[in-house]
Amino acid sequence: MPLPDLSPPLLVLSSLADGPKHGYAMIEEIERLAGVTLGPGTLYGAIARLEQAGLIQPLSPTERRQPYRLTAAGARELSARLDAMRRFAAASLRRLESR
Amino acid sequence: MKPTTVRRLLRLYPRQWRQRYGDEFAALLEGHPGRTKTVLDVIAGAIAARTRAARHPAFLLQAMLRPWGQAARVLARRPAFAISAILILGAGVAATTGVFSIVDAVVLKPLPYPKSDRLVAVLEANSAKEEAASFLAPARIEDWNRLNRTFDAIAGSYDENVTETGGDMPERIAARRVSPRYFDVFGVQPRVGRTFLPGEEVSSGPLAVVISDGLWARRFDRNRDVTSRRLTLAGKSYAIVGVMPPGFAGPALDAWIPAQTAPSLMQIRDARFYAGVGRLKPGVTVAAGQTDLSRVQSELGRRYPKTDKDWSAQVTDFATSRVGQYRQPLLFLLGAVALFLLIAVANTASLTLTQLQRRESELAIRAFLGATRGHVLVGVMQEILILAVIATLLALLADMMLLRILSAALASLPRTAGLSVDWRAFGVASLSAAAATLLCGALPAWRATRRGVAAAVSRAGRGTSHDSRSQRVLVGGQIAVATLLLCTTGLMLRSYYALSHVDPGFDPSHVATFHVGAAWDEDRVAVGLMQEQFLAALGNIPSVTAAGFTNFLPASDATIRYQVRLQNDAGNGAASSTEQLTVGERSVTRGYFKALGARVSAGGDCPELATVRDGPAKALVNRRFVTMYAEGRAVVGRYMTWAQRQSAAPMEIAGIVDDIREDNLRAAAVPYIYVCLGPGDWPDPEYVVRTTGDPRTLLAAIRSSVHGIAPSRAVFALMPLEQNLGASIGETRLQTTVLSAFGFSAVGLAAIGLYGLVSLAVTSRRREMGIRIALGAEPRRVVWELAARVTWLVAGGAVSGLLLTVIAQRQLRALLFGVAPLDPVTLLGAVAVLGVTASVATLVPAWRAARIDPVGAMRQS
Repeated sequence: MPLPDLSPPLLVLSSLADGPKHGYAMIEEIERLAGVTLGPGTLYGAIARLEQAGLIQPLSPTERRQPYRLTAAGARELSARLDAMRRFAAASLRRLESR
Repeated sequence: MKPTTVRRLLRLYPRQWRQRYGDEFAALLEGHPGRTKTVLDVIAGAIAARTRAARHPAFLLQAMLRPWGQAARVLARRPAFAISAILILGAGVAATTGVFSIVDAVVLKPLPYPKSDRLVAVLEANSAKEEAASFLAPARIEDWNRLNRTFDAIAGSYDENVTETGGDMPERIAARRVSPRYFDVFGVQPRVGRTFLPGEEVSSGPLAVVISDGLWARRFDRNRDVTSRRLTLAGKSYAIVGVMPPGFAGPALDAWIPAQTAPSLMQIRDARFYAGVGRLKPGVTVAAGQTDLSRVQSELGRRYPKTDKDWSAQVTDFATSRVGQYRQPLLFLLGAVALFLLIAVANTASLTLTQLQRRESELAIRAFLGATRGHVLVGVMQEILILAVIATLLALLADMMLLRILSAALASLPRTAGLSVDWRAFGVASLSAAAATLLCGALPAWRATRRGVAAAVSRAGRGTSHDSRSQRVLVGGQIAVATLLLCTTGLMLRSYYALSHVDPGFDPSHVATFHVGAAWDEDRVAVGLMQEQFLAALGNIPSVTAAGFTNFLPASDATIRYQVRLQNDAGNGAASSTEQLTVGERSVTRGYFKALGARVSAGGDCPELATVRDGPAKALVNRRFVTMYAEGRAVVGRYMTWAQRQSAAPMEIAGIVDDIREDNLRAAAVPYIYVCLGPGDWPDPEYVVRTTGDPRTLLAAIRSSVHGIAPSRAVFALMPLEQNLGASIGETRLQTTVLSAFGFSAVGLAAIGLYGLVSLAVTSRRREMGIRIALGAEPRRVVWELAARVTWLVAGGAVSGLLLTVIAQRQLRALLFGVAPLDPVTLLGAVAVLGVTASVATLVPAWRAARIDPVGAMRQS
């Protein structure tokens, strides 16, 4: 089941959760995780905003591919968001079940 | 996706974005299938990136609100930079504001009279001769008023010193005798009371006086019932009818008294003694006024051919006639100070550049750590603004103190009383300084944040060709302007030296001068008797070797010109056929030349004061008169007649005086005649006394001698002649002092700039030099290479400066004395001073470079 409502920055952060990746790997990972195919423009819009906010960080490039990793702040932000989503999901499921 | 499509798409993104992500983004796109959906996505991303970039001003604003404390802390970590920037910028702003305030007060501000542009100075002019403007005769003032069509009114005045004996001590009053309509011309209302009624302005009318604000404060404590009080002037009681506001006349003037010209004097069309002033009708130009009065005077010439035929009128702008002579020297100083400000700003700019280059890695890291470009820029701007604000505040304080001190030193300039900081000048100087510095800070900060982070960090601290080029331009410009200022300073110093060593034709040491108050309408026989007694009493003071008096001292800028005819042969004063000779005139007594230390080289002195009227009128001439007008032939015993005063008796030439610089010390002697005064002819002359000792010790003896003879008269302006003379070269001294201050500070600033440039080169090439020294290069060689790099810069700056001096020489010429504007010795000297200073500024940091520890240098980078 695809999750098209998730924001591209959150998707990028999630894709980096298990380790550094470059842009193409992020797109593949996001497809796998959320069933959403991010366009390159959308992806790099998110990367730029995340980098500026200090949530991700470029590593030294290999050939022309630029890998990124989560910063500590990025990891905290991701985990806080996921936590909120989890609480949201649990509460919504409970209300559905009590119908 | 094809690389060309990728490139085209990339171009849609903002440049800053492309520089950061372009490469990796292109790599991603090239590996992507080129579907429409992808292309649209990329375009949308570009739009989003652009709108984010456009939001930067908002970031700037946010950043502006950041605590200023951070910027201040950054500055505090660099005290040397902060203090020098503040001092240099402050000095530039203070000097510019100060000089402009003076120039504005003296020559630029309109005179303090309503519609002052309609005021003109009016004189008579002898159309037959050049350089022959003359005072106005009272009869002619009345005629001109009656016959002209372009003036509201014309009036005249002359100054005299009278003694006021209404108080405990006789007090000298500097009075201005005024013709009818005088106050109407200026259009200024009195502060208290009224000006003169028509009845008070005619001969034998009631005696009235209008006093100045200064006298009102000094004698009457600004009491408003002053109009019921009286003044006793020269023994006669005058009713005080009004008080003029401050600023109506210079602070030296105490009172205005109606001239009350006697009807007999109104008939004498040759008696010229009024300085004329007129108010033009609205819309009338000075030239039209001039044409009109010339027409009136030629009409008078037909009616009174004997006295009026050769005369015309001279109408000039009143402000120019009053302060015109100060305009050029003061504007010249203003130019010099503007150059100084330019150097100060360039210097601060290059200091800032150097600072920012040293901080480039810091700035790059700040950008890398998430500070936006706006943040970094605003941070730097905040630091510079703090410096500029402190500098301008200090400058303002300095100006306030300086102008208070200066208004005393500048008392010889008109309109300098109450000199204060000119706010417009302060605003312009501080704003331009701050703006220039901000710009110089913004450019390198902009560049530092633009480059890729990695590039900036790896390059940081190594200097860049671009920054160092702006630095070189700034330093080269400073050297050029400093050379110009230094050349000018050198020329002014030489002028001042020449002027203070000019041979005035007399010996001013051991001489005292003074005045005794006496008015023109006093009993002249009594005044004459008193003058004889004074000279006798002065001669009885033991140390006094000679005493006499004159109407005007030498070098007092009294450049009066008359026309005389010199008779061909010694004779009894019969008509002469020779041409009119233009001469300067002084009136003197026996003993004056001896007291002055001037030499009578042929014939003799004037007769004794008491016996002058016993024989024919006598006069002496100067050496220049003999060489110019008598082809060097003997003139003693020959007669002269006044060309315009047929009624006056011929004068016998009694002797020849060696040339004295009468007009002023700058001007070579022109032909002069010295008319022998009779007792009482000139009621208020300059007494001149020569002593064997210090003239200062004589002052008390003079005062008591005069007091013994005339207890009710004020003795004033009692001072050594050297002090009197010092005032006449005081302006040149002031110009020289101020210019020297600018000139040498400018060289100092240029040296600081040069030092900074070389230091920067050393810092940025530390690693390279360390390697070379480690590999065995001789330290001396490294030093010379560095020095050679700046030698061309200094040489180029100096040559440009010399070229500027050549361009400026036309403005310089009028201010110089005894030295050519392109005097090679002076110019070479200036360049030498600059060269030595530059060498020191270069070699000190270069030597430090040679002592680099190679290992440390390499490890550091």
